[in-house]
Amino acid sequence: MSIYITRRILLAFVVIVGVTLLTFVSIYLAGDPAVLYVSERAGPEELAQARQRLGLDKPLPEQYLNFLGGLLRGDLGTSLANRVPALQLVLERLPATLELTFSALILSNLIAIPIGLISAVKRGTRVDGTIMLVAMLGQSMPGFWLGIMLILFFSVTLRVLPVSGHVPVLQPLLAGDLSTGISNIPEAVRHAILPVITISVFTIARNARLVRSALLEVLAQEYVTTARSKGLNERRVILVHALRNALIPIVTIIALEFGFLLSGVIVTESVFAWPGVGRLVYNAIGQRDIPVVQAAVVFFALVFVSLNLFVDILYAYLDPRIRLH
Amino acid sequence: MHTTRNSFRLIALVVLLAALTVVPMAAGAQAPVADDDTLVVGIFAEPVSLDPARVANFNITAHMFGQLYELGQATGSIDPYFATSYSISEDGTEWTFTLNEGLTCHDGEALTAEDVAYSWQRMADPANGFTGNSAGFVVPSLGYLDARVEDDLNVTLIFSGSQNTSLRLGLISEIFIHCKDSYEAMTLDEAARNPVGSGPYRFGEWVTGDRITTFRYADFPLRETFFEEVVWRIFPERSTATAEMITGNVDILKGISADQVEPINASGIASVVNYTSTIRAYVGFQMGADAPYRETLGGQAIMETPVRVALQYALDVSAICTQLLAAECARATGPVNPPNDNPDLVPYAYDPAMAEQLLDEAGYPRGENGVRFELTLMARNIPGAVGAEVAQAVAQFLSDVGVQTTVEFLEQATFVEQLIAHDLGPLFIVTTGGSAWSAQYDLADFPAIDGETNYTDWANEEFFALEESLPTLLDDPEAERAAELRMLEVFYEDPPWLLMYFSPTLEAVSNRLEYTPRVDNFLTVYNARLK
Repeated sequence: MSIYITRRILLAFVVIVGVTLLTFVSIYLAGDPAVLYVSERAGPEELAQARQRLGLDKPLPEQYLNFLGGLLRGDLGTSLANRVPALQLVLERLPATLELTFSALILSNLIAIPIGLISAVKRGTRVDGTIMLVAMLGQSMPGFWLGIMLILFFSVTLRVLPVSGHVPVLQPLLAGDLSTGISNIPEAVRHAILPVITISVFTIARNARLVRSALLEVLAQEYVTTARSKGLNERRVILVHALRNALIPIVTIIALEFGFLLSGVIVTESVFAWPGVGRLVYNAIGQRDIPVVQAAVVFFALVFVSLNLFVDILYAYLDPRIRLH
Repeated sequence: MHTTRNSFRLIALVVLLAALTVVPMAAGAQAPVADDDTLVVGIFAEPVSLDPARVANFNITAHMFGQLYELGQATGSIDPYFATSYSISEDGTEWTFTLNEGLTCHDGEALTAEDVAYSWQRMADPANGFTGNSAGFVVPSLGYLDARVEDDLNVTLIFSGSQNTSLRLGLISEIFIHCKDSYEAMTLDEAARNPVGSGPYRFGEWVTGDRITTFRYADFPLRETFFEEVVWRIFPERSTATAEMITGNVDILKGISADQVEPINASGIASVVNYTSTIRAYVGFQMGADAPYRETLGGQAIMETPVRVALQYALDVSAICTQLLAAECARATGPVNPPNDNPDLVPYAYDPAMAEQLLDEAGYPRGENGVRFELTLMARNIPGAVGAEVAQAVAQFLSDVGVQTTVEFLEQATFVEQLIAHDLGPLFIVTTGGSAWSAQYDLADFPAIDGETNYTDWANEEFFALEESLPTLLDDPEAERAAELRMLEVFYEDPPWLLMYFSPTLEAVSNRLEYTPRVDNFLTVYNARLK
């Protein structure tokens, strides 16, 4: 088992290095970052000075190796644009993003699991058909479009919810300011409703379909037939015997979904002017602010890889056959 | 049927419960909204720094800091601000400014000549590594060398040579004054995020990614302001900003796109003001001898003056403005903004038949496929005066007269990099900042044939000889003006640009405000007040 875990950790490190390399190369392929840090009327001399000041005058491999060296020391570099540590910028924005992703995770599963369950139980009926149709629509809607439509309807037409903005909860709580954190909750929730719905719709639709198919598979198992033949109440058969087993793969997906949501908030944060990591990355890409993009990518990759690793290890415990592969 | 109904009920219940978990039960903190004491200004990009020596957002900085002289709200004026007057040494290299009495920085420190000298020295000190407009453009353009304190209220700026008065004063108006003691006590990183201002509004809070809040500085003696608080809210998405505007949460939004005019005007909450800014929009003809496309027929053709003149007649500027920019705009006759342009020059008309005739006469008849020659127009996929739609319209107008033009979109950094390297071409569409206060400021795009900002590599000998003569004519304003006017004639007759317009700007303003927008490319809200 320890060999398996060690191998997975080493693989995780390779993934992170690979991701940072890809990011580094792709940003450079898009153009010289230094041109965005000089005046409108800059000449080659000013440009050369900017390259030197920003550390961009060194060969690319050297720049990348310096970054990797810093990564091992926990130093992800200094933002080219803001001149503050890149990791600090990411961590400043992280609470806002976590508020969004956790809320979306909870909301999507609160809705997706019951709906998927109903759909499976009512398989082939109008209810099932309606749910699956809505789920398909939910998966097809682009986030930016949905966000703007929600703003138009709830904020501009009905005027019941704010258009955009963010009221912090996690940040004051983390800073030890409990009273501010708690008193901010009602207004924070009002501001979070539309962005949370925007990023939840896709996952609600997908998870409802997943729950349905997993449950249908379990409902066809012999032990469910046995439970029914023993005269158990249908509700008990579904909720206790079938759903519990069907949820095992779902729980795995939910764990990984957190990483997906983290990386998927970029568009939503932009539409709703939500000051999270997604927008930070969006701006940093536009500004060719390599250290900030790298810091965010490393952070996201670490979260994603850690969750993957956790799930892999969990599976290895649950299913000994996995360790053999 | 009964179970189906129950299932729908159950689904409705689940959705309702989920919704209830996120519905507020009480009022709490508020995101910033416009109220009687608060003015909210929407901006589309967050500044990376609030250091007055590294101006990342001129508008916000101008509210927190002041300059010796400033660009007035009205076209063309450069007004005294922190300074009451100036005098110039005989050789024109030393300018001594006399300051207003009673100025203080926001930490209470008295603002004296020492602080002015420090502000200039700090900004220009290479050790500080400041780039951007102040250190990167203003300092070399002025030939700034040093600053000297005469006494508490008099400070002298020292330059390497003499210069046109309007031009120099206008450039000086781009440098912000800050207090020595407060800035000496801060590192550069601290100064970037914790500005200690000197202007009518003091720094309050910077919530990164969300807003910058400033508060009225009650001890500022030089300007009356009408709001206790000015909040600069950051909107990465333009449609979100528009939605905030029409729900009354934002008061002023500059640079909206044409498709947002109608919903804003129809809202009854805000209205769109349309005016011509000082930003020059044009299509450049790249004429560098070494350009890789120089051997192509199109690359050869644009080297010829008659061809470049002919193409002026192919462009319907009025249609571009009304159809794509939701504005009326006059066609430019050169790079200089009114009122300093040459009033005798008549804008080229839209006359495709004339364009075709001149192209035929220039020796570029239509081929069997109807094409005279081919060109590529380099552009960026951005909104606005030189945006994607405008670029495509320009290409279509040129194609209509047989100059088959294809638009190639470049990513921002690549575009700027190639522009600086003079590699964009054979055509490129771009804007450059201009002024209403100095013809020579606008002409500074063409400092010399090999000048860095002569992006077209235009090499008209008469024009550049006149440019070189300007510093020698400082004592004879009439001769100086005559030279400027002749330069503009030469530019018109041998155009390095496909002349377009001074960018129309759309600014949304809340109906609750009495406010006159500036007519240049800046934004100041000092005069905004409730109706």
